[in-house]
Amino acid sequence: MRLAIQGIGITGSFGAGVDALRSALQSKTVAPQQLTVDHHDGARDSFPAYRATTEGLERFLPKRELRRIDHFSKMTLLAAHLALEDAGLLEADRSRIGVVVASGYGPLKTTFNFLDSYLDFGYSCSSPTHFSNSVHNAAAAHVSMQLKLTSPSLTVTQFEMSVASALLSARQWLAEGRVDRVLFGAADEYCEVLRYCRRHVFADGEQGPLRPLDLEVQTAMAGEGAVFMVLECADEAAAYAAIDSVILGNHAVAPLTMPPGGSCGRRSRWPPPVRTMVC
Amino acid sequence: MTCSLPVVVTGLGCLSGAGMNLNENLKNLFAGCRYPGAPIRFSTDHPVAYPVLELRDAFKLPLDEDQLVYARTGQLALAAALGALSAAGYEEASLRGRRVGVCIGTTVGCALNCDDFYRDYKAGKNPGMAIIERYLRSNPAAVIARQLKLNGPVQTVVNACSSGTDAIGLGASWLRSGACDIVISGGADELSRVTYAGFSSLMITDTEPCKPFDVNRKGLNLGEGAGIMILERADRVDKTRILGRVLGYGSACDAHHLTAPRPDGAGLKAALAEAFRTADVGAKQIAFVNAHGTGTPDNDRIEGRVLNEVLPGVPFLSTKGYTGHTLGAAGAIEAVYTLACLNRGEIPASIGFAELDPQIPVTPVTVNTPLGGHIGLSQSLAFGGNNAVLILAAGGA
Repeated sequence: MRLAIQGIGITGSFGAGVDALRSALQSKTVAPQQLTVDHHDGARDSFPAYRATTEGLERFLPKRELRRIDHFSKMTLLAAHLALEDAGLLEADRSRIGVVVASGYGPLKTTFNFLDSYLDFGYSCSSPTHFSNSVHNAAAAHVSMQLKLTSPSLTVTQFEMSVASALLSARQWLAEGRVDRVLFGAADEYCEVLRYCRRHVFADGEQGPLRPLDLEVQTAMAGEGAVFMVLECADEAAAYAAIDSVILGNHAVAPLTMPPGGSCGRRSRWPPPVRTMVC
Repeated sequence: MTCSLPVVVTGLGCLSGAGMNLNENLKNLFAGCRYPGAPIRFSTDHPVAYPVLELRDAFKLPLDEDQLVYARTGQLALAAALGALSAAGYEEASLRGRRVGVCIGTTVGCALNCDDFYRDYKAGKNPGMAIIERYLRSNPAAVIARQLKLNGPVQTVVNACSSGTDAIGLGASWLRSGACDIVISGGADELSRVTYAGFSSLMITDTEPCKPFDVNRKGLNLGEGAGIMILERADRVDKTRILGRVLGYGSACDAHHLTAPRPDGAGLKAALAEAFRTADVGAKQIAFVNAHGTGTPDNDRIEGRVLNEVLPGVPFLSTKGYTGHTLGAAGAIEAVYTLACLNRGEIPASIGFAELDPQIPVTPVTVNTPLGGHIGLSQSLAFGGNNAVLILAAGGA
């Protein structure tokens, strides 16, 4: 069964939306932000990181609704709204749209905010708001609540394999007819503890510039963002591209067998047609 | 749409505060024994000690000391998986060359809420990475796949308290699609100081042993454990190995509130309707319901009303009085119990219930009760508004 990508919503350090991503790709560079963290010993850690914007979310939701929603869920909400808008579904009947969210680490900042609440003030002062927003599926829940999506909702966490793993179940929902469309997305966020851990592991290797595929040196930098795709079963037309197969396995145990190449959607507009995406 | 390709269960594994294996769990359930107590493995400065249901014995994995690198949730998942595989007649080597998927639900098992590490980080003590590295090794589904050298899809479902139910439903779906030959599915969660503090902050934990559906219920007791089902395609399994069948699965979202169930129960009703549709069975065929029944005022009121409306007269119980609320493991442990009870032909008393709540028009079973059929239903309600339902049939059905 072929999955057609009918809409994309995205937010990252380049801005929000497909046009912002396209501009970033065409310019071939996006400058990271320079962040600083002051440590207890007085030392100042200065480093580059790619932070994502949530500007523009007010276009979809009143500020009042966003008061108690954390950055992780705001990124998720923005990308989800943009994807539905891109697919022309923002005003459509959404009763049979499922939600699938993949995340490697979940809402890190809120997780630590919750720990702060009892480490700073005692267990009796633990924050119920931080606790309920610290569960991995909080972002998917906010998407369902704000968009009134009552079909199934799923959140998957498998570190770097989260997206591929979640895509398998999204595909299955569509194949079984449980939903007509899946709002399929992924989100992960930066936080200072993450920086601390990365600095421990990578030492000073994260000062940029980022050089992908340079296997001789560690140049990765911390980043964050969220992306959603509107997926549906479609043999013919796909707005962006089609996903022919979702295959997961353990390459260390058995060889991965690739399927034969498929064909692209007919009304692809951007980016250039992807013939087959295999996760 | 129905789940036309039958999926069968060939192995069950379970450990919880009610027992270190499935037989011990069932023995305690049918004897009406439960063992709540103050937490043993951690402490807090709460003015009261909320009872929990921890594992009562240490569990030992058949691993060398240098292989014991997983956090407790991963170890619980692995222990239950090994038990279930053994019950299914599989040794590790017999899984080689087969496409074996792993689909496990959890909550604590995936959260980077290592408060010992974070306390030192906040204090500027420059903590090392040992705790973080253990966390990175301990994704529950990956633990099982890695330890058993499996080749197939691996997925950890984090749908809060419905994770275990969803994982079994999704695992069955993978089999039907041909994505794998065998699926190790279920849920696991450890008792944690973080969730202990979190649920008490929400003021939904009872200071006494929990009382699901009772008028005097004040909240839940936390627990820990794991439940695993070995799922296989019916057409590839000798009938003598079949312990049960996954007939249907439904899920739906309330889209209402982060922690409170929707007052009209619409999400749960939608999940039930989808489960009935996919199982191609009706409410009258259901012999009993293993309810979510946490003992919180809101959950039990909404769930009880939905049971009265959708499954009137069908016997039901909550087993959380025996296990506590095991969060991401709960739905899986309860699905294992559901199938075991169907095969046994009876269900245990819903422990903790004594007095009818006038706001709940149904009453759970108060004594061990023989079953009048071979199909059961297990349901979970969760943070985020998730509702998930499994319909299961006994092995000989």
